Amino acid sequence: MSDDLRRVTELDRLIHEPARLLIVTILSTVESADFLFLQRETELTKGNLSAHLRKLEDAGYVKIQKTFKGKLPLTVCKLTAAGTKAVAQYRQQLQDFMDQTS
Amino acid sequence: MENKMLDVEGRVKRYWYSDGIGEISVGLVFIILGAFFGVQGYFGEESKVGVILQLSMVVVMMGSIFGTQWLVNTLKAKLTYPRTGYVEYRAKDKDATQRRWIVVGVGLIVAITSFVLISFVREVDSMVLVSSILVGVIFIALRGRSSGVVRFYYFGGLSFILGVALSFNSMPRLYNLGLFYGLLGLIILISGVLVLRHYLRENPMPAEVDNE
Repeated sequence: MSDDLRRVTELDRLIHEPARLLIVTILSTVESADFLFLQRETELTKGNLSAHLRKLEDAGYVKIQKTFKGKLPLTVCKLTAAGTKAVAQYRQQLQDFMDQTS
Repeated sequence: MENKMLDVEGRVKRYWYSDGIGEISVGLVFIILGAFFGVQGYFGEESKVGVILQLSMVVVMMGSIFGTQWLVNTLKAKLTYPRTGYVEYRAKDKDATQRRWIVVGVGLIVAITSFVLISFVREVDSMVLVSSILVGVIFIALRGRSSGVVRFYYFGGLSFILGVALSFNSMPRLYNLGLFYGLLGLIILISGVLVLRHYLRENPMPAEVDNE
């Protein structure tokens, strides 16, 4: 297996999936964001977004909390420390791969 | 892919300004400041009321900043979050108390600088010019740079043009200063209202809040 190919296989597959990559990129920019915001930004269906969030939550990358902002019920999502580390590592790996191949 | 990720990050950062509520609050603060200088000019700097107004400037500034902060949070909770979602931004590793102190510090610096300039710089023109540069460069252009919202650059440019234009005015300096902040505040407020109107048209309230 070539070095380039090996580097690609080392990428975190949970994050590498486009929809989940979009979700974690958004969450890495902010402290937290609610379900509605994520749904609008990712343009995923409610069910699809729920499924992806559940996978990220199961991996310990995202923390989901049901709360209220005034009278407004919110499902707030936040990257955990492990999630933040995984995103940073993914971006570094991707950058290294791009630098090597270009 | 990295570029796409940066695009997403930029879009998320600009989201805070998509409803114009932030501009409305900045516009209001400037209008209050403009009115403050106008009233001070009316009573005269040396008068008892003028001196009291000068001394109370910090309180007025802080009050208007915290008051508009409350207004922003209330309007966003009522108008923005139910329509396009709630986002809490990072305070760049500074906690809320630190942020409050920074706001207080900036307010104090602006108030003291203004006080010193009013007291010792006797040329009307330089006062407005200094204010326009301060507002244009420090507060607006830097904000535009960090947020990536293009209209902030226009506000920065407008502040400078307005400052230069008014510096040739022969009006008493406090009226001149009041006019500068009042006009700039009004323009920013109108811009914020137009952005908010556009936002509300583009994003009608959902029948039910779609928060899973």
